[in-house]
Order: sequence, then structure tokens, then C-alpha cells
Amino acid sequence: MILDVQNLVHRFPGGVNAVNGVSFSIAAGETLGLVGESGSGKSTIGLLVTRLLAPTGGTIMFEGEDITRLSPAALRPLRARLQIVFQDPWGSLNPRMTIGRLLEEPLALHTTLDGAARIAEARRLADRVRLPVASLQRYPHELSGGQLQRVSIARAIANRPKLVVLDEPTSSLDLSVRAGILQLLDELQRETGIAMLFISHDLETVRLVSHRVIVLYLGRIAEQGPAGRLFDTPAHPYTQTLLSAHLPPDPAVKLRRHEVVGEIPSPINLPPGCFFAGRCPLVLPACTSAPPSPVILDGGHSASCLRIADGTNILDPVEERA
Amino acid sequence: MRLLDVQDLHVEFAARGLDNRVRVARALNGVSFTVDAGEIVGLVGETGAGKSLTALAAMGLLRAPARIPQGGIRFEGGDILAMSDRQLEKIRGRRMAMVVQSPLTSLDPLKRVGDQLVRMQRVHGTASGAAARERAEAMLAAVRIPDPKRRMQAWPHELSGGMAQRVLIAMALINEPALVIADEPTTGLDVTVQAQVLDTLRDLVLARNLGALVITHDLGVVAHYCQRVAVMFAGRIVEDGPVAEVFARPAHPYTQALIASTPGRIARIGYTVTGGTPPDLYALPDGCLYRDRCPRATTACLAPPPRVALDDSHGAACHYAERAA
Repeated sequence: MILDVQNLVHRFPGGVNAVNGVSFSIAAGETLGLVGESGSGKSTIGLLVTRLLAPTGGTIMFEGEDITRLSPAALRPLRARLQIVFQDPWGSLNPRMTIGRLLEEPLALHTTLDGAARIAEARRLADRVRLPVASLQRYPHELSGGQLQRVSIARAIANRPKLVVLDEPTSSLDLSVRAGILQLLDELQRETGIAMLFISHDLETVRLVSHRVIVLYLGRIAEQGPAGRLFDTPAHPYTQTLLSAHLPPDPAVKLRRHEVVGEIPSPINLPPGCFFAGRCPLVLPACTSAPPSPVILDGGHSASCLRIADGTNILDPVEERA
Repeated sequence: MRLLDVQDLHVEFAARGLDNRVRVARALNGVSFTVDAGEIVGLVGETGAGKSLTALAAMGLLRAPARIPQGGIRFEGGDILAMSDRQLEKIRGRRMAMVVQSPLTSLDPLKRVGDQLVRMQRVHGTASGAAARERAEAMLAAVRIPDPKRRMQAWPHELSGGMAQRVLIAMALINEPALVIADEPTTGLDVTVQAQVLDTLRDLVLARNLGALVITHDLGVVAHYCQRVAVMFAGRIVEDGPVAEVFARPAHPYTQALIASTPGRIARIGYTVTGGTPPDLYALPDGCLYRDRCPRATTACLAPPPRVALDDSHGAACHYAERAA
């Protein structure tokens, strides 16, 4: 395993329980999708596994090494192999550096290449992510969002990382530009066997790029499994609700909706039982007393819902229309 | 008579550059579409296509340095472009209303929700006093805000994004307008909340026989909430027609590329589309504006493409529309 996370917990100052006991692992060449709505803790998990944040509890093993409590100095050499790409390329690239210098920076930090060799390598990187060579002389404000995201990806792969966390990497891009970035990520993974943690609220994109998917709700795993299985046969009522609210870009697909009431509970006062119990149409008295354990389904698929035991976990669609 | 009738609308901006030369950005280049009562029309396109600008123009909200060198906008038969500010103020918020993307910055943070709804009515003289409060509360209930009586007293910062968007819809509809323009009404909202807000908007528009123009970059919103769609590229409508028809038989190469870029389609047929940058609005070429990205472009595309009618309701601005469809 490239990454193995056990019982990860993170509480922000002020008592915000962002991550509440999450365990998962990612193998080489694998993309794990992390989906959830605002406040599900998905971005926090991205920051924790790259150790840009120190977790409150749990362990993070990266390539067999426990990095949970490593100091910033001890983390530095590791960063070459553990990278992150953020949603907003405008905000994550230094506006005063040329694209060429932005691409040379990670090489200067982690390799012994001299200036000329770094320039040559920066050109190779630009070429790999299909940036025009002329853009190396330009500044970030002169490039489009899609091109800037290619710069961010080029920086992330500069030192041949083992794992890249992608936090909503295509969410601020237009549809046709988005496809080009997803295609690039797909090629990079096939070539180098890089492991990816793909964080997104966009269900269709996550299904397209992920081998396995985790559905988060209030910092806890509601359901996980192989992408096809989870999307085709969601077992947790929350997953069913989430998937049914998605609007496929095709009017011929009939919507089968599960209405859900209310909004996500406050992460400051967590309910004692299942976090979804307060909104779940299938709630049982036992759901509110203790958090449900994951129930193993077929083929590496599991979901944390008491209703699965007797097969009463499937919601009825409340409306059907075009 | 159409409720909203936009014909051949052009909008340009003149800007003086660092070299002191004035250059003109041609942001809208002949936009034509209509909205009738009882229908939801989607205006879809990517960043910079001119969607929001079209909405601002329709509301009579464009100011210098924007210029309208050509085109017409008629709303309920009246000429929006010929109206004075005072005339427009009587229409906006009364006969036509707008729902924008960022609900929390569109509400007055220093006024309670109920007071803002009452003010909307008082300004337009539709109701005042106890009657206005009563209508405000009923409107909050209509947009499915739980416990509307208590929410009348809420401050905007106490609302979630989805609740705030419902309040904005309530504000837009409180004076019973004939037309609602919703600019990315659910962008930034979570998917479960998005569906609820769109359901509310659609149900109210159809039940009250309003016309609605929904501006979005999300093909899913168009597919499931609009009856007709107009696809924009570089300040032009490149294709328009009934939603089912346009998705099933897209005739313009740009519409085809958009649909081919959706993840579900990629999963089935692979990556087929390479995105490109939109043309430079300061130096637009003659002829078809999509031709630099178009896989089918020929020398014929150096001439401006006419709108080719594929049937009586579906058309595309492409020389090869008939062959493609």
C-alpha cells in the first residue's frame, strides 16, 4: 500500500469535528475517489494525508513509514513523493514567477540538478502536460484556468511522486477544458503507476476517474466500494439520496428521487448515533443510540447502516419524471 | 406577443489600453431568443460566452462602457433599450425579477429577512403594512422554508446557502413578476440542496404561468429543468431548440463537443474532445467563431454561418448543420 490511514480524527479549534474516525488505503496505480457535500471533511482529509495539517488522532502510513507526527523538517524530503493539487490554480501559483520558474521550483527543492538541467527538465514537464513551450516565459495571469491547472499538475509530478491528492482539480474549469485535464491525469497514472486520492463533489467525474469510492458524511465513511458497484447499487440511504439528487446531463435519463429533509447537522454537536439518522426516512430507534458498524457486501463494498442486516435499506423513489 | 424577445443583440466594450489605444471587445455578436409565459428556457455556455451579459442587457442593467450598437430587446411588448431609468425601475423587481448566484451577498446583511420581503413590496406599491407581512410569510412558505413565521425574524447570516437561495427566490417572486431570470441559481450549492431549490423554482414558475430564463453552465440543470435551450459560444447563440431534441440530435459541433465532454459520455466512448480557448473578443474573426476549434471547418466557414432550421423549433448556426444532425 502506498497510503494507509487508520481511524483518522481531526478536530479544529472551536470544537469543529471535521473528521471522525476514517480508515482507508490506496495502492499503487489506484485512484480512490472521496465524495461528499460541504462539511463532509473531504478537503480536511486531503490536507491531513499530505500532512499540511497535523491530525488530532489516528495514524497515517505513507510507503510503510508512519508520518502521523513527523515534524515539518522531517516531512520535507518526503514531499517530493507526496503531492497535492488544489482546486484554484490562480490562488495556488505565485503570480510573480514565470511558468518556467514555477516548474523549476520543485526541482530546485528536491533534486541536485543544475540550472541548465532544471530548465531542460521544466521544458520536458511542460511538454508532458501539453503546455506550449512559449508559456514558460509567461506569468500565471497570462494563462487560462485549464493551462494553469496543467502547471499545477506538472509541479506535482516533477519529482515522480507516489501519491497525488487532487482536491477538486477540475471544479473551477469549463466542461470541455475539464475533459482534457481528466485525460491527462489518466495518462499520467497509466505511465507511472501514481496513486491518486481524487476529492470532489462531482459524482459523475468521480465515477469516471476512480477505481474505488468513499462516500463521506460529516467526517465519517457512510459507504465505500468499487466505483461501479457503489454507483449502481448504493446501499446506504445517504448514498442513495446523494446519487438520486444528481442531475445527469441527459434528459432521456428519468430521475428517481429520494426526498430528504433538513440539512447536515452541526459538526460542533455531533449526534450520538448514525450521523444521518436525523434526516433518514428509514431511521430506527437503535440508529440514534450508537454509530453503526460497516456491513460487508459483495466485492469489497461496505456500508454503515443497521437496515442492511434485514435488507430494508433501500429507499422508495418518491417521484419520477423527466 | 412574446414575453421576452431578444433580437440580434450586440454588446461591445471600448477600453483604452496601456498604449493609449482604444480597443473594442465584442462581447455579444447577434444574440436572438425568446421566452414565453409558462416555459423555462436554459441559456447554457462556458465562461465568457456572454450568458450573464445577456441577462443584464435583458434587465436593462447595462451601463457605459458597455454599448449596444445593434439589436432589440422587447419585454411585454415594451422596448427595454428605449426606456428611461425611471421606467425601468418600475419594471425591474415588479414585472421582471432576477435570482443571482451568490445569495448571501445579495441579501442586505443588516435587515431581517421579513423586512427585506416587505420592502420589496413597499417600493413597488404592491402591498404594505400587515398585508405585506402576511404575503411575505406566505411567500416563504411557498418556497418551502420551514417555519416561515420564525424565519421572518431571521438575519441573513443565520441562513444556510440553500435557505438564502430560497429567500432570494421569494424576493424575486413576491411582486408576482411575469419573467424570472435566474443566473446560475444553484451553482455552489450541494447537490441535494440544488435539487430542492430547482424543484421549488420550477414548481412556482409553472404553477404561476411565469416565464423563466435559467442561465447555467450545467447541462444537468438544462436537461431536467428546462423545456427549451439556447447554447452560447463567443457571444452568439450557436444552437437552440427543445431540450430533448438538442440533446438527442445536437447539430452544432460545439454542442456536440459539450455533450461529448460529460463524464458519462467519456466513460462510454472515451476522450474525444480537446478543449480550446474561446476566441479573443478584441480580435474576432469574420465568419464562424468556432472554426478554429471545429473538426469539420472548411473554407465555407470563413463566411458567417446562418441559423439553419432543422425543424420548426430546432436550429443551429452552422454551414453543415443539416448534414451533422
